[in-house]
Amino acid sequence: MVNSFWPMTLSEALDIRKNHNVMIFNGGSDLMVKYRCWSGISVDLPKDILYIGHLNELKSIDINPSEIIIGAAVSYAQFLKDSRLPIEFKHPIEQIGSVAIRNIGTLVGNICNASPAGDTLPMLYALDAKVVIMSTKGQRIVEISDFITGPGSTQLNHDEIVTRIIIPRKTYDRTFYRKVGTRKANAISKVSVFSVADIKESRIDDIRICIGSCGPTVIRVKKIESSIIDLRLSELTLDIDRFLRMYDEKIVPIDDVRSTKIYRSKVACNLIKTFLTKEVIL
Amino acid sequence: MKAISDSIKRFDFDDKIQGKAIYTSDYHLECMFYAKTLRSTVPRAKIKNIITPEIPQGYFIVDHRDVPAQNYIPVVFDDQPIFAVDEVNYIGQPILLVVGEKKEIIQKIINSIHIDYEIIEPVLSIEEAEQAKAPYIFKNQPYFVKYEYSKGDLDKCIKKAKKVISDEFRTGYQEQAYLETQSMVAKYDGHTISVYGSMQCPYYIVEALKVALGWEEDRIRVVQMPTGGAFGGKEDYPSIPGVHAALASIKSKHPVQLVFERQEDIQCTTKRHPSLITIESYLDENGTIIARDMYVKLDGGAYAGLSSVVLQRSILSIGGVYDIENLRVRGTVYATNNVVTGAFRGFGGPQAFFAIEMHMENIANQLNLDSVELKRKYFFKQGDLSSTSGEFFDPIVLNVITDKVLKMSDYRNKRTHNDASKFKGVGCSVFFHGCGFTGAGESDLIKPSVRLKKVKEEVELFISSTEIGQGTLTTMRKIVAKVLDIPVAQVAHHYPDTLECPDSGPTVASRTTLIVGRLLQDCALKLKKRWDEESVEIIHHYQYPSHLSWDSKTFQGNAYPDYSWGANVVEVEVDPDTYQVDVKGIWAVFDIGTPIDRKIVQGQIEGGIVQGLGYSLMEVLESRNGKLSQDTFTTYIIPSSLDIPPIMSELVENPSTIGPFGARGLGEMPLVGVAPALASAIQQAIKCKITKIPVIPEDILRGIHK
Ligand SMILES: Cc1cc2nc3c(=O)[nH]c(=O)nc-3n(C[C@H](O)[C@H](O)[C@H](O)COP(=O)(O)OP(=O)(O)OC[C@H]3O[C@@H](n4cnc5c(N)ncnc54)[C@H](O)[C@@H]3O)c2cc1C
Repeated sequence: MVNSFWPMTLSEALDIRKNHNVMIFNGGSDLMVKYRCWSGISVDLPKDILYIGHLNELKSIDINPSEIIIGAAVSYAQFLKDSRLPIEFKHPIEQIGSVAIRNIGTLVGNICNASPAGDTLPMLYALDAKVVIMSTKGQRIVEISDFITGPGSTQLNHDEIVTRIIIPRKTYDRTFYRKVGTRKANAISKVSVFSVADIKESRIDDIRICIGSCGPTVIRVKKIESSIIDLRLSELTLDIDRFLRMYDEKIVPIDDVRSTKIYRSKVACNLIKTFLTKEVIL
Repeated sequence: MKAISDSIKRFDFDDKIQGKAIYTSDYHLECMFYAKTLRSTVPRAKIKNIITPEIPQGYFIVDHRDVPAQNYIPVVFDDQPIFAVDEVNYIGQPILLVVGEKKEIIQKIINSIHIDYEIIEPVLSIEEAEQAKAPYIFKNQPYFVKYEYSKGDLDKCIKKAKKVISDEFRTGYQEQAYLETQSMVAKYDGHTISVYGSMQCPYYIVEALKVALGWEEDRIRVVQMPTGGAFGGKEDYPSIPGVHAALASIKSKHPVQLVFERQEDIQCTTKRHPSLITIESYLDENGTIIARDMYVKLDGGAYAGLSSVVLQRSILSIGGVYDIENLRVRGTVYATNNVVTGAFRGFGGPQAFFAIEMHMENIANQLNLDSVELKRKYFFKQGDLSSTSGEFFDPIVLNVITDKVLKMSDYRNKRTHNDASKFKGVGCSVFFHGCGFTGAGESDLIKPSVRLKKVKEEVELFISSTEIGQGTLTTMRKIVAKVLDIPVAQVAHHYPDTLECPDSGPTVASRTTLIVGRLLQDCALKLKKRWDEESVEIIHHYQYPSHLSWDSKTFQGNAYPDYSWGANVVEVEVDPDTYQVDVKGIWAVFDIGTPIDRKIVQGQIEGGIVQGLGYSLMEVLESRNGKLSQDTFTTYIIPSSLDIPPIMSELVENPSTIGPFGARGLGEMPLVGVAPALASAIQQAIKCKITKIPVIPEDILRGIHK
């Protein structure tokens, strides 16, 4: 049998986190599946549990002129309902799971679970999101790409809780998202691509291309992005195949029960090409 | 109810919709124990030793030593043990049960049991079985059964032929994916054993209990509980958990509940047979098909189960709806150390129709003909002889069916004005389903009976046919009420209980409406003549129609008592970036004679089509070293509601002379024709040959870039 902690405040939660060896339980949609067991007996959890999904302090979405700040207990449904958020950021979220999963699952849970197929991740990498981590000692802020260190692993310490995500506020001229799952709902991604671009006077001012499910973590190649930035659209048109080859070299997926490496890399390249030719160049 | 086809509210509607129905896992008897099964984790081995921990008081191990009479499950062959004795032949094979009050403790005991195996080289595919040497899994041969039949003179035609067109097709496993897993509760009262559970065939479990216990039937009672889907997966398989729960209750002297977990259910219960099918067609100088040679190979898994009967339906369907005068048809179902395969909606038909319909498509392509027009030339009609030379006595309206489906779907236009750059396609399939048991099985093997009881104005009907979502509890009442000309509410009908219900046969083979419904119709007619009597009871038995005949040795005669017919059109668009198939629409026209309830019929059609769509498009299920790789609903992908395209269906009413009020069988057929129509559509969209289902995006990519 394990113990469960139901703190009333974030600071109480941080104390518990410091003094006990606990596992954080947010929406529980990953945990309940991972530790499922014979129905009728309680979930076979390896550690004591710290519930945080009910904490009001973690349930807000705050928007200031430079940032969108999303609390750790914000569910997908809450994110989708918030009319202040740009519609482009909602595309990946509205394709996650099904209605029930979107009601309990959280963006922060998805980050902390750090699955290579986590569907919030390509977008959060592309938007340069930051992760706010707290402990009784204080808070630190890290880039999402540093926070996630591999499949299922993050740099979170035993006494820490992720309290929010910060997305720098910026608008983009072009955004693109495609999730390729095994079916249209409740599907784990085989490949996904989230990209944005800014065009100023027929030149590429900014471009970010992120690929999910094709490696241990999200693939984002800043070197290729910087060689595209500042190109004229006409120059990009001429050089598209070279950039696609560069991406092809960087995308080294694996075979698993869901798909094959050949399929994943081909489809990822097709989607990047579609983004570049149909969204960026037009 | 005015006409028999008019829909009425289903009698199981309120219970199921309001959540009031008590399913087996909701059924908690006083002092009830739980049981869990310890299963083989290796595909083939000798069991050297089983090391069990000390078992706490009140907990029990139940294994083969607790079977008082005979340790086998009676199906067709008696090769499958109730519990493994000294060898295992597939991953998931039951070895023993742990039984007791608390699930936590049962789980602990299970986890600490250790089994010493001496591994034997397993046989893991049809190809490996073809090469297999002794020791064999089954008797002294690498297969369970092998059949062959013919019509006309193939050899002569081979010599005469100017052209040969051959194809090879493969189909995969399919999981029934019923919402409710296998579930049983057994209760022993010191004299009688009662088994309550989720099932299709109560008398199969009675039979299995008689074999295992050696008891007379009057000490055995089997009751169907509301059942959350079955699709063939609860035809023969429930005999295993049924007998297990009974043995556990007899040993522990407590009621025992045995409910499978989802992963356990996917891993170890019966699946649809994977197949490898070859077809060669011989054509003369005019491009007329003069002969065919066809071979169906199935993977039967480790025990024979229903495989022989599935193979029969496969080889009896492989000729399709076509009148070809010279045929040779062969079939083999191999023994492997994979999961046991068994009954699944369509029962060998879906594999066969995928193959023959794709083959016709390919012949048309080679001859540069329209495939529907090519098919039409060979359509069976009334008076023709089937592939087994049985006369088709009733009118066959395949042309009407096909015209209708083409018109509804705007097939011609879509097929010819196809913009090649768009990756669009449309395909059509034409098919049948033989209703009822093979040949004279209804009279030789099943001998079904029904019972009607009248007290004053109230009538009750008693059959062992189960309600598995297909509407038995409603349609059978309608038939009886219509004959007696009384309100349907005046006819009672409950979930079957073998104490009261005669054996009306298993709920399989699209036979309930056709065969059992007709028996009830005839029985009600007898009752009507005696309506003046205060209380009457009539038992009515089946008689094989005198104009039909069947020789099960040579496969000659009328292969089924009746046939239903259908055609599908499927339209697709393939995404050029992701190779995903977007199904735009499915059109279906069926001749099921007179529908007994239009709404129930529509439910069967749409459900069957969705299951057929999953089978042909996404339900990948593969055995790796004897273990199924996709054993959860995260990895075994069935269509979600968003994946279901618009489905447009219509009926052609061509009353049967066999079934009640002219009805024919329906339950299985809607699944059967989807795969070939879909695969033909994809074939047109991507311009390369589809030879395997499910057709997944990974295969489409491979095909396009070959
Ligand atoms: C049917 C189904 C469909 C799904 N579909 C999708 C899908 O389409 N795409 C997708 O990406 N995912 C999907 N998921 C997975 C899951 O829903 C998501 O990953 C979800 O975002 C997890 O959030 P949660 O709050 O429920 O996480 P939890 O299960 O509560 O937690 C997940 C992990 O993160 C840790 N954690 C949670 N919050 C914190 C915190 N604040 N600080 C530190 N650690 C924390 C937990 O300890 C745990 O290890 C699906 C799951 C199911 C069951």
